[in-house]
Amino acid sequence: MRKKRWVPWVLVGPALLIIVLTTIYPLLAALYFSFHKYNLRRPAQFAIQIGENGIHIDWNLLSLNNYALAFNDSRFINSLYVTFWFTVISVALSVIIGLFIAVIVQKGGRLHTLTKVLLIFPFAVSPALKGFSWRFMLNEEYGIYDLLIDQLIVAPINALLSIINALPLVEIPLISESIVWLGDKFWALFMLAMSETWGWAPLIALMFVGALGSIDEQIYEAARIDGANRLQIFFRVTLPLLRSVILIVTMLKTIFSLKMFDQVVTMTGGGPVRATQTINYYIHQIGFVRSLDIGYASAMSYILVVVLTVCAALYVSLVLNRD
Amino acid sequence: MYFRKIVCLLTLVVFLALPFAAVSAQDIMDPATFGLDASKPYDGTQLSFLICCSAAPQFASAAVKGDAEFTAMTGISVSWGDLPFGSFQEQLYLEATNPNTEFDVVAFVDAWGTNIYDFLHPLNDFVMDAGIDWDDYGPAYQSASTGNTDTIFGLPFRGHPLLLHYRADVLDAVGMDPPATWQDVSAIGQAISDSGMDIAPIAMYYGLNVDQNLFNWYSHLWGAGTDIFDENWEPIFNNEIGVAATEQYISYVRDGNSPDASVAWNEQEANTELVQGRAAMFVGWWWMASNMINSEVAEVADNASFAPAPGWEGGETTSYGYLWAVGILDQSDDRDAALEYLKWLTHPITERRIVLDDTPGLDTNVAVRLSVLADEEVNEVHNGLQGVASAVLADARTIPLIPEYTDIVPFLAEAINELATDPMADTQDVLDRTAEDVRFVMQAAGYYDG
Repeated sequence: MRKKRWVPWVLVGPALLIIVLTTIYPLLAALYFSFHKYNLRRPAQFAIQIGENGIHIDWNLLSLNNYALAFNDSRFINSLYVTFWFTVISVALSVIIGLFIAVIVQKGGRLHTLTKVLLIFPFAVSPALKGFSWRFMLNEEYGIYDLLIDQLIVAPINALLSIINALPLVEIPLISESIVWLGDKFWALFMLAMSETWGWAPLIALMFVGALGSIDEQIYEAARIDGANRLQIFFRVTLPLLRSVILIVTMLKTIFSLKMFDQVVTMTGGGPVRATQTINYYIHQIGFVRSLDIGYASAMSYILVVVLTVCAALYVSLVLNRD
Repeated sequence: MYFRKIVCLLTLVVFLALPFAAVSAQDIMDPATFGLDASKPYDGTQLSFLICCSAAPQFASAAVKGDAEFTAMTGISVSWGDLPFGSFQEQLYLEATNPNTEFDVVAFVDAWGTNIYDFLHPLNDFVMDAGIDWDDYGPAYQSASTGNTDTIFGLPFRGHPLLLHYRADVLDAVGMDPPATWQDVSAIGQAISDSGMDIAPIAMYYGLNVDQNLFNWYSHLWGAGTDIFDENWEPIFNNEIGVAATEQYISYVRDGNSPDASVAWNEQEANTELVQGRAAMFVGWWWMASNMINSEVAEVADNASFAPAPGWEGGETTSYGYLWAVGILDQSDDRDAALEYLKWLTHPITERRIVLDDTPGLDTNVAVRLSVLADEEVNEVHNGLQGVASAVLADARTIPLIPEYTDIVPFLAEAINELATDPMADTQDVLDRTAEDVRFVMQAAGYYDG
């Protein structure tokens, strides 16, 4: 039978068209803008000009100035630094807490099944709403997290310190009960990462539950026969077998963490000072809120695209290797 | 001093109220009342109005109550695009710069307007032809509508003076009058702390949130006698007076008169402290007055009191008059119909009706015209709030209205936030560093050429 070569194109055509319009075109347009001095406040002059005599390219209008500016902009450098630390904290917490949850809920039983179903809910909450909720819950006057942290963590530690201080040997200062979570540079970034972890750790837990279920029970049985205790089984059997899944979720979470934006807007506003200004937040401020400098915002976006592309390539290679 | 101003303004009420008194329900449906074309030349036209927060009473009232009447008189229907405040600025810029935008009429905050002036239809001829009394708007609102130029880019639509919201019972308990100056605020704070009352003297907001931490800083700067820029656009907020004004502004949290948490609060969170009875004073926009008046804490609602925002001891009482203006996009295909809409929307009768309506969910005290602010019936309904607002607006001013100011504001807001969050930060150092950043932006924009 003769192959109809056009059939595959017809089948993938609509999807391809949507990808071109919503992904390829914006990517190419942003790349093009990034080489221009393009500010929404002023009429833009672009290198490619279409006139009566056809298409003309004015090479003088193209430059790498926006890229040079980015690496001389202390605020952009700050946003790289903030994004790096946010990513490290949020990825580490999400993976560790996710794994911890997975180990707890992996067993059968109705309660465990119900818990697994409920785990998806935090991930389903919109990031913007997550930010508002966390801001509210961290409020020093009426926030539930603030109250819980004070009562369950700070108060017992202070009670212990008071006992130690009663001894004539040392004088350890008590922890202030009035930590302004979003008014302190370290805590604001940490809490921003926690809000992200709150949504992601359960999803990662579900991924780990699937991976844990695929480990052959005989391997555990053999370890037990060899005299391994629970901790040894976890660290020497379970973790090595989960290695590829850990790498995959780490890369996936890293990609999402590098793009952090919504909670910064609704939870911290980038503050205190610049302590939570992530790259995406800064790009948005430059492009659409403050300077309306689309050229510069596009250049910074492309720097982020390069970082994300490296991460995505690693992610894809990990997934393929696993398969 | 403001009481004298109130008295003067109220004496005008009788004369100003006369034309309104003559307006009957039938007149409200008469196109001639608003100067509208009775022949309905734009019948069937659909206008799109880009505006935020249409659920907020100050905006909802006009949308819910009036547009149907306007449509009946003109045949023009108006669709309000509702956007949350947080994303409105971005959308405004995108729509204004989009040659194919669907929007005809746009509402914009003073500071944001500077970036879209080139895309707005000048309204000078319209104001003259429609017989709009330009002097019925205070100087701060006039400046904000024109960007301190001769071109009218928008008509004042909703405007906000800064008021002191305070608990009369707390101040009575410590035997103090409402503060006329910021130094009085500190003195009252000390008195409240000394009294042992379990309430914060004042709830300030130093957090980074849409630059709200600058609102009261401006009052300190201007009151003390300095400014953001000098006449050559050189930053001067870091001079000796600016440092003193900023130190006074930060002192409320550093001295314990404002809660530690206020370093991260936004305006709404600070207002909540007052409304829920945990703070005795708050300085914020007058549209928030209803929060205190309607507080569910009885002692808060019963003692809700308002006065002009404090000034500087021995200096001025100048605060920021914040304006929402309404303009027409140059690229609108229905510009004439949009102008008809502006006649009705900004007409003093429309404004007065909105502010007199006490329908739950629609009640608002917000008016911008001096004649409406001085209206006796309006003041009676709102317990004289408009009179207090008039007194504030007489001395109010606007912020620097240059496009680059939106670039500069983050530096200023971050400086204030740094001083509030870091007790060891030196005011002079932080302001000097910020002034360098500001100068860099201005230099890049060509302000110092030649």
